[in-house]
Amino acid sequence: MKRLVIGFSFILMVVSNLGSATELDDMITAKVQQPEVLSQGQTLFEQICASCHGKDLTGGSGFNLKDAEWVHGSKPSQIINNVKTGFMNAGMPGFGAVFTEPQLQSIVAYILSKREGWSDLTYKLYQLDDENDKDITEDKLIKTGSLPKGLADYSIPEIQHYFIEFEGDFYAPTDIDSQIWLEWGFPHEVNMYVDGEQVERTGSPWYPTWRLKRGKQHLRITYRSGTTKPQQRNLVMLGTTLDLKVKLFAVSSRAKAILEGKKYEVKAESETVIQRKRIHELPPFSISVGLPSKMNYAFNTKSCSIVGLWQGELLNIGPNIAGRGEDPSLPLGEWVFKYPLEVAQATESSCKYLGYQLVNGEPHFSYQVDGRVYRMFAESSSNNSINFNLRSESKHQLTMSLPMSEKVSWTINNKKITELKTSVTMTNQLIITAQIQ
Amino acid sequence: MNLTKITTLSISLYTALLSCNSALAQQAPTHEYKPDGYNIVTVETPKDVRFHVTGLDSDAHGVIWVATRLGEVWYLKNNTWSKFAEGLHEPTGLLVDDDGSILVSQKPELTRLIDSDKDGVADAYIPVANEWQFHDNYHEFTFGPVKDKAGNLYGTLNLSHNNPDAFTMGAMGTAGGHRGFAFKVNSKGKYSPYAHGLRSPAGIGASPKGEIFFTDNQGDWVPTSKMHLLQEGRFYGHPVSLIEIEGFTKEKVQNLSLETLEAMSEKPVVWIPHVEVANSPGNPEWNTSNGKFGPFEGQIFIGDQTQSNVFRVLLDKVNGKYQGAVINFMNKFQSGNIRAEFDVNGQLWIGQTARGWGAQGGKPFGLEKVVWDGTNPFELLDIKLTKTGFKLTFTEALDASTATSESLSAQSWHYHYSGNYGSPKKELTQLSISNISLSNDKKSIDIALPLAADKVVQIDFPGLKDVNGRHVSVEKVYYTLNELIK
Repeated sequence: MKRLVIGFSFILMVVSNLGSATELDDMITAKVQQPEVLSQGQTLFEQICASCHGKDLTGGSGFNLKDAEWVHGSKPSQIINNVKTGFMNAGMPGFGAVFTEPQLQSIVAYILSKREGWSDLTYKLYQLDDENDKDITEDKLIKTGSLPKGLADYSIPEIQHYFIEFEGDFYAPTDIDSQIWLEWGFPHEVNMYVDGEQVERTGSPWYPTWRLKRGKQHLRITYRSGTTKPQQRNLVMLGTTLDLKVKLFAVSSRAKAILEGKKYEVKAESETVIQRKRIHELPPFSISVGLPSKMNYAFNTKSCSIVGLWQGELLNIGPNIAGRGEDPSLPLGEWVFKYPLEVAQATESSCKYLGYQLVNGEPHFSYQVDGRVYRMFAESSSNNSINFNLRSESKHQLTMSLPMSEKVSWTINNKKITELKTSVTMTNQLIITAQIQ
Repeated sequence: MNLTKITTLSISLYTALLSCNSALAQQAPTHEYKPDGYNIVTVETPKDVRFHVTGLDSDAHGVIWVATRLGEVWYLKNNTWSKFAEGLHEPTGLLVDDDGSILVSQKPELTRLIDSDKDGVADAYIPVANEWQFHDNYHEFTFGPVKDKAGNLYGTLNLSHNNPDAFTMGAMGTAGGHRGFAFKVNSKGKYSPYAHGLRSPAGIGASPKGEIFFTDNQGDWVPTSKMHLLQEGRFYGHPVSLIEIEGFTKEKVQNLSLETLEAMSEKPVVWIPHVEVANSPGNPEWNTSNGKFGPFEGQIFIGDQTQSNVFRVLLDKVNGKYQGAVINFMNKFQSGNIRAEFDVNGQLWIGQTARGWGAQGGKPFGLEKVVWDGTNPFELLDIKLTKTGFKLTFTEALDASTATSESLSAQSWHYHYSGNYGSPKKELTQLSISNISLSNDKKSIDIALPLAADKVVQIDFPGLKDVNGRHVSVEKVYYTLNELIK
C-alpha cells in the first residue's frame, strides 16, 4: 500500500511539472483556428523557414513538416522550443532571439495548420478462419500496435485470412477538398469511417475514392483480406484532390514509398562497380557488373553464363533496398540482350562457380566445367562494344552459344560469328566481342 | 530514494490498469529496465551510409566487423571505419574465420572474403556454399554462419513469403531448394542439409562448447518465438520443408494431423513469450568475458528486432536435456536489435535494423553497445528447476524480510501449435507458492509450487529487495518446463 501511494504521488508530481507546457500547447492549438495568426505565421514561415523546409512544408535540406514524423517531439510546446533553440549541428539556427513570443507561436500554429495525414495511428489485426469469415470478434485479435510514422502499413499481416483496422486522428487540407484514393481497388473490401460515420465508396470500381472532411477528423479504415491474392494486399492508398490530378499525401506506407520514389542509383563513374541484387528480368544468382564505358553485364553463378548486357548506367537498386526489399533493382539504360538469351558454353554438364577475384578493380569470374577451370572477365572502352575474355589452361575444343539479334554482332578471336552455336578451339584465350549496332 | 524505481513502479501500475482492458493482448513492459551499472553507448557509424547491421563479429584484436543490408562489409579499428567489401546481396550474417578471412552469408551464397594483398580491402569473393535455391523472394534470407569445435560451419535458410510458386500451409512457404532448412558445410567444404522445419530462423549461435543453437520467429507453426538446440536430421515444427524429406509429398504433409506434427517436432530449449520478451529474436551470444561484463558470466544474450531490447537465456539441464528460462535484460535501444556480439573487452555490441520490419526504437539502423561500469546490480542471476519448484539465485544478497510468499507470484500456461499466426496463452493458471527458503549466503531462494511438464512457468518477484534496499529492474522470469526432474 505504501508503494501505491508513492507511485501515485509521483504521477501527480510529474503532472504538475508539466502544467506550463500543457498551457502552451493549448494556447498554440487554439491559434491554429485563428486566420490572422495563421496569416502572420505564413508570412514569417515563407521569409525564414521555407528556404530549408520548402514553401509547401514538404522538406528540403530540413525535415518535412507536414507528416506525422516529429524527430524532436510533436507537441506545440516542443516544436516552439526547437524553433527557439535550433539544432546548430544540423544547420538549423535558433530563432528565440530573432522573433517575439507571439511571432514564434504564429509560426508554429501555421506549421500545425498545414499538417496532413495520420496522427496517433494504431492498428488491430484479427486472424480469420477462412476467406469467407466475416465474424470479427475479440478472440481473433492477434496483434495490436501503434504506427508512429503515421502510415497505414498493409504489410503487417503475414497471415492468409485477416481483418485489419487502422484508426487515428487524420489531418486533411483546410483550404481545399480532398479524398482518399485506392489503387487497383476493385477486389478489395475496404471501409472508411470519418468521425464515426461510414463514408460512401465512390470513384471508379478499380480506383475507388472516399471523401474526407477538411482539417482534423477521426479516421478509421478497415480491410478484410477475403478472396484477394496475398501479393495484392499491400494497398497503395493516398490523398488526392477531387479531380485526381494532384497526389497530396500518403495514407499507407506503400503509397509513401511510391510517392517518394524508390531511387538509389548505382553507377560506374571512374571504376567498375559490382552489385549482387535481385534484378528485374534477370534470373536469381545473377551478379551485375557496370563498367565506366557504360556497358553493363550480368554473370550468373548457377549457369556460369552472361545472362544480360545493357548500355547506359548500371542499376537503380532503390526498389530492392526499400521496405522489405520485395521489388527488383531496375537496370538503367537499354538492353542489348537479356535472359533467356545468354553467352554460354553449350554443354550438358553443369558448372561449378568458383568465385571472383578483383584484378585492378575488374572482377575475374572463375568456374569449372568438365574438370576444366575457366576464368572470364570483360573489357570495354566504348559504350557500344565489349570483350568477354575466356581463359583456360589446356588446349581443347568447346562450343559457345551466343545470342543472335539485330542489335549485336559477334566475333570470337576476330572471326565473325553468325551461328547460334559455334565450335572453337581454346588455346589459352578466347576473346568474344560484342559490337552493338 | 531511488527515483528510477518509482517511475518504474508508477508505469507498471499504469500498464497493469491498461492491460485489464484486453485480456488477450500481450503487453511489453513500457518502462525502461536496465540493471544497475549497465549503459547503452551509441556508436557512430560511417556518415551518409545506410548502416543496417545484420552481420556482426569481432576478432581477437577487438576489431568490430559488420555486414550491412545494403551489401557492404566494414570494420571498426582504432575508432575508424573502413570499407572491406561491397556489392553483396543483403547479407544477414558474418563470421571472422580463424585465418582472418571473413565469411558472410548473402541471400544466394555463403561467401569467403579474402584480402590477398593485405591492403585492407577484400579482393577475392569465394563461394563456400550455394547449393540451396534462392528464388529472388525477399524473405529468403541466409543466416549464419557459426562454427563448431570440429570446424564445421552452420547456417539457416528462411522460408519465402508471397512467393506464388511456393508450397504453403499458412503464411510462409517453400519452392524447394532447402528453404526452411539448417545446413552444414564440413571442414572439407562439403555442403549438406542438416535439419528442417525452420520458419524464420534469424539467429544462430555456437556455445563455448561448440553446440549450435538457433532462434525462430513467431508466426505460422511457431506459436511464440523460441530457441532450439540444432541437431542433425531433426524436425523443428514448420511443416512445409518436409516436402523435401524422403517419404513425404505435399499431399502427405497436408494430411498430417496436428498431433502427428507436434509429436515429430523438437521441443524448444526455451519459449520466448511474444511481445513481453520478443517478437523477432536475433542470434544467441554467449558471455565468456571472464567477468568483464559483470555477474552474468556464461549466459546467453539475444537482441530482439521488434522490441528493441536484449534478453537473457538461463540454461538448465534436466534429465540430460537443455531447457531453461528467458528474462528481459535491457530495453530502449535506438533501433531493431538483430545481432549481438561480445568483443574481447567484454562489451556487448548490438547491430540494428528496422527497415521493412518496424522496431520500438525509432531509428532505421545503427550500432550500439552495452558497457558495464563495475557496479554490482541487483537482478535475478539464474533459475534452476528443483524436485519441488525452483531455485532462484540473485546477484546480491537479499533482504531476508522480503523473502516471503507475498513478494512473489507464479503462473503457468502452454501454447497451441498450429498453422495460425502465433498462439495466445492457453490454460493460463495461477500457481500458489507454498514454501520459500533463503540460502545461507542469502543470495538464493528455493520456492515450492505445483509443477507440470510442457508448461511455461512465469515467476514474478517484485517484492524482493537486496540488502541495500534495491528492487530488481526486471521482475519476471519465464521458465520453459519441458520435463520434470526424473
